Amino acid sequence: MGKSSLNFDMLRTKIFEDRSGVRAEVYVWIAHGLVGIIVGFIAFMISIVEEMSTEWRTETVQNLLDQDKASSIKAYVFYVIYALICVFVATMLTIYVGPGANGSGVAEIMGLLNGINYP
Amino acid sequence: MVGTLMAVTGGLCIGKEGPLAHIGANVGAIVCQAPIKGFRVLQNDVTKRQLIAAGASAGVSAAFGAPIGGSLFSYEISKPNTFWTFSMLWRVFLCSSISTFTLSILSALASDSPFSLSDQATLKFGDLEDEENSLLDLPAAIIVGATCGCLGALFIHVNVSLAILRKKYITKNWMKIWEALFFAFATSFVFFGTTLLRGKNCTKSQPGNEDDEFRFYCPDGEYNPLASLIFNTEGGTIRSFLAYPLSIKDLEPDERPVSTWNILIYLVLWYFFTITTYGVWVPAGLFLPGILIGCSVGLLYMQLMIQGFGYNIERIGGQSYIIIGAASMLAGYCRLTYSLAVIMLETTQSINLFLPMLIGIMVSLAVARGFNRSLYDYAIRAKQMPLLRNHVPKKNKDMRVKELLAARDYYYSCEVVESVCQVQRLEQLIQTPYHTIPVVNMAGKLIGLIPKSFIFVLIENHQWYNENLKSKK
Repeated sequence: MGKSSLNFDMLRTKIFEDRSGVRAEVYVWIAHGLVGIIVGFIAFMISIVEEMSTEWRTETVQNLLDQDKASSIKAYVFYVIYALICVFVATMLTIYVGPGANGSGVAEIMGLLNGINYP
Repeated sequence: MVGTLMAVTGGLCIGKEGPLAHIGANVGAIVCQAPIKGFRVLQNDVTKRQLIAAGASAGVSAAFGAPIGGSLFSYEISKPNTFWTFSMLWRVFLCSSISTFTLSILSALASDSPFSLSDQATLKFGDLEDEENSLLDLPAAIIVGATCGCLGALFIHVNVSLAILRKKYITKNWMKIWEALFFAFATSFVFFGTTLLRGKNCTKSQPGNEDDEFRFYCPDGEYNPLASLIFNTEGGTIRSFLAYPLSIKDLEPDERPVSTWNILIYLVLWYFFTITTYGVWVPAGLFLPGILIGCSVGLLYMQLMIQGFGYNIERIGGQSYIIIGAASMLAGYCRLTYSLAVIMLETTQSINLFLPMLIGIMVSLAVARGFNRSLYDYAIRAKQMPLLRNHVPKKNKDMRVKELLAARDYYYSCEVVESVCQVQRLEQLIQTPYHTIPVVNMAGKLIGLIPKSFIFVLIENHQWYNENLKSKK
């Protein structure tokens, strides 16, 4: 798949005429509602998991520091390794599973909304 | 999508808002293809694009708890285009408010108080105290805005140059992985290191916001301010920034919790690592880092006012500076205008601040535009998306299709194909690198376009020309 334009124009075909009207309008509304619910759910999942894992990380670092007042090597190593594991998983997923997810994604949306289908 | 999560928790200097918008757009595209009976009406490109726009705005509004701002966001980023209709805007509003509502319901359920819906966003600014708006906000907005504009322009410059270097040298997959790992290592190493170096200054903890404090080396009842800035979630850091001007109101100067140095260190660290990290192969947003950097710029300005010019904290009120800073920093590199202002307005829920915020954004935009273009423009270029501009460039204005085709050696395809033709002739046509072919009538006037894929379908279904169907290529 390369880059290609989306279709700008409303197609005045027989199929299209059949698929408009009140029923179609209702379905479009339902679809918008559905999108809203799903996105809200995903945002919730992300925020919850982020909160939990950050809390867990901070607590563990604190505990390690409390155990060993003299040196902070253990906590240091834990902190660094935790970051490494997370980022490793993130990059592996980005590179091998979904290369489209690289970056912030706003540029892709800009392109898409202006009529360019970027895979 | 899971990648975003892991990257944010991994402690890289990046945000989760941009990917959330992208996720939203994907959801829109998926729903459009959902195998539900009746959703077949959605399967055309027009509705698909509307749904994608709705999804993107839902993502942004869930991230900031700002339904109107989210809708305006996707309105603004589809700037040169005009597929937005009134009915569509209305539907997008519905979609983004539903996503915000779902998020708030779910988080209310998670926090065991199912009937309070105040907790509305993945990022929120905590409660702002209603404070008097002073005239001093306006010069503050101009100065902070100019500073943030410069910072934003520098940000874009460094980041784009880095991206070019990246494209040149980092080409293999294993190199990308190592690069990301290196940045994770460097970020956590430096963050922890600075905390250790400044580990000994402890302050008494404030009653009320124990959640956002981190004890580090300090004894019970006290906490380390820098560590609690660095180790927190990004939302938590913003909360503690905002709580700061309130908490120092009744304290003596020498026992104020977060010192100027801590803020400065935090600012420099975040700025540096955000510049360098953005562009690594992970899903990464830029909104939150911008807000954090802007917050610290605003706080620094407040410190300057207090310590340099001897203003009383009660007269100037610090929170407004922080919010102005955040807004204008974002404007500095995202180059968004009204949607950004409305997002900040809705997130902070402080209508009094709207004018200073707007001025900050405008000044920052003006300063940054003097240097370079938007980061997203550069990103679009880097991905080589052929985005159309608002205006036709001057030298292209008088061109005709024939010349363009002649220049590219496809002149033969510019000949008019006869109205009834062999499949062979069509095959020749299909092999040209164009997606869409204009259809003309007998007089040679354009009557419409037909995409290549439609011709394929027509051939596959043996829809040959007959007398009853006149509209055939």
